[in-house]
Amino acid sequence: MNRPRRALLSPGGIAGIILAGLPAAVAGLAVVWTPYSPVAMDFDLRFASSSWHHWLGTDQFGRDEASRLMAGASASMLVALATVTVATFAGSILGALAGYFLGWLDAVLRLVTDSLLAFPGILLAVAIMMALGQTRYGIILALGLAYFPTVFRVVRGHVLSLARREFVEASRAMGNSSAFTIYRHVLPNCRSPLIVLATSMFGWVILAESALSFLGLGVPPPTPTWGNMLAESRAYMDDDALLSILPGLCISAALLGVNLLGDHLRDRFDPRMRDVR
Amino acid sequence: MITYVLRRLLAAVPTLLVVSVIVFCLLHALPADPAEQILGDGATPQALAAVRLSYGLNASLPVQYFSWLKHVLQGDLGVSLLNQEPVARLILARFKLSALIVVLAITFSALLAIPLGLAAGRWQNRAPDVFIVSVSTLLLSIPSFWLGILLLLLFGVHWHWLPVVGYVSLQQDFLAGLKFLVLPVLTLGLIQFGSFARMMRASTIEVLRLEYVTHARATGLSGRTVMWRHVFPNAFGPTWTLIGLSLGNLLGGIAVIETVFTLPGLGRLLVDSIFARDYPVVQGCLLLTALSYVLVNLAVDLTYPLFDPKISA
Repeated sequence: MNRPRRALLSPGGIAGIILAGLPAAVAGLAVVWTPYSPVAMDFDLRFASSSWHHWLGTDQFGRDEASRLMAGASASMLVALATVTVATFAGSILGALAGYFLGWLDAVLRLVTDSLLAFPGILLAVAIMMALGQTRYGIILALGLAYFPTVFRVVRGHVLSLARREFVEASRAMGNSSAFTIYRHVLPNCRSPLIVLATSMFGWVILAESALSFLGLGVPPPTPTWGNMLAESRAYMDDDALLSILPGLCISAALLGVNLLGDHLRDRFDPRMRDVR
Repeated sequence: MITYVLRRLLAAVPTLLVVSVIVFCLLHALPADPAEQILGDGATPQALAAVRLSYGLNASLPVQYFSWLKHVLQGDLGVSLLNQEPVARLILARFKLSALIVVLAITFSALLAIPLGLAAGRWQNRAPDVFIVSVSTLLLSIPSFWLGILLLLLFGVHWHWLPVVGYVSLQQDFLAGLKFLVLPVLTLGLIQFGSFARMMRASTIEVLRLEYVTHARATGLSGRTVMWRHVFPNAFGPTWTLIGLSLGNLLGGIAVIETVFTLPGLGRLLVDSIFARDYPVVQGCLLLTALSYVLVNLAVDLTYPLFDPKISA
């Protein structure tokens, strides 16, 4: 029985890891070191072009663009990581409970998540941000609430079919508690779709966070994020086009990386997940 | 068929009710006192009490919710705190512009993506397919507002072909108004292209594997006839669903595009109202967007039987 082994990583997967890994590495570096302070202004050096001292030039307040892009990477990555963690945990736990126990719990949770999903796009996050106020934790909570219903749906659907399988019934027959059965036998079987979903979600969250920051509803300035840098650049398009190009390039590179990685993981783990969104 | 329609319509009612509760709670969960929000800082206690009385803010939350819901169901969304204009009239005017942009963008995108998706599926893994898939993946990774800025830099700032700021409505001056719509529609259309083309390609590949396609080919039909007459109708279902979903999603995400192109649409009104703390307008925008999203999805669901007769049962 020698089946041909599938390559661990497709070329797309490798490109994805590199493209998504680079901003992640830069984000890590920016936590401990940036060439200049990302918020230090220098009014003698407004709109400076790229030089040995300022690799990517400076912005409308003379702040070092490279340092700001680096700090923006860590802001975006941190928000995305925290949001995906929150949404995945909340969605999986509630989804598993709903799919396993069904009944009124399932009915209530489904009504709530369906209603949350009735808000299109980032609108729900916009609304929650308004209620919570503009803080970094607010945006994590807002995006977490906006994205956990998707996780809930996927996990619930999966658990629904798993709960009737023999190995789950066997666990119950052995006298194991429901909590133990879910934790030990049901949830581990949801791992592949969860990995695929979490990867895609990482991309959605980066996009949503940058959109919120672009609207002025995300991480508040002066903390640089790619989104609010783009928003600020809109007024200075005539002065320095580079300020409008670089932050978007960073978002797109990170997103392309995550998307390629997501495609690769989906092909590998779960071909049926293609249409989930 | 009629029972199917009625069942789907009824199923949407609880969702819409919970949506209204969420919208109501979001604003009443605010830490600040609504009366203070209305009057601003430094209001006298007497004025605050008067506002609370006239807005019914002294009643318990459930009572306030039901009286609000009653008004909403009668089409009364209150008045804007900024200029006392009725919210319903204010948001409907803005909604028209947003809806126009979204519908034009989706049409443009679908007309481009469907034939290209079919072609990519037909020549799977060959040069045209690799090209279309690469472009789609790239477009999926570009934030709409950045693509908008890039197009603006190119067509507005660099070549001066199209206006960079401002807005003229189509009613005022059709041709000038059209100029302001070109870039937003192009931007949103290109952003959508990626997902439409990929979906069309994937279902084309699935359908092409089926035996009836082989049979159609064996009868001597030309490749083009097989693709359009036999493959397309069966492969179009998932893309149609996606088009419906995108319609609502774009309406929800259009605020960023309206910000880039300084257009007075619903999304921009929502964000401006949030900053201005004009909560009745915020409520109205959220409700209208969620409602149209639910209705569009419902409409898409109702067209399923056209593509799949098995569902109408």
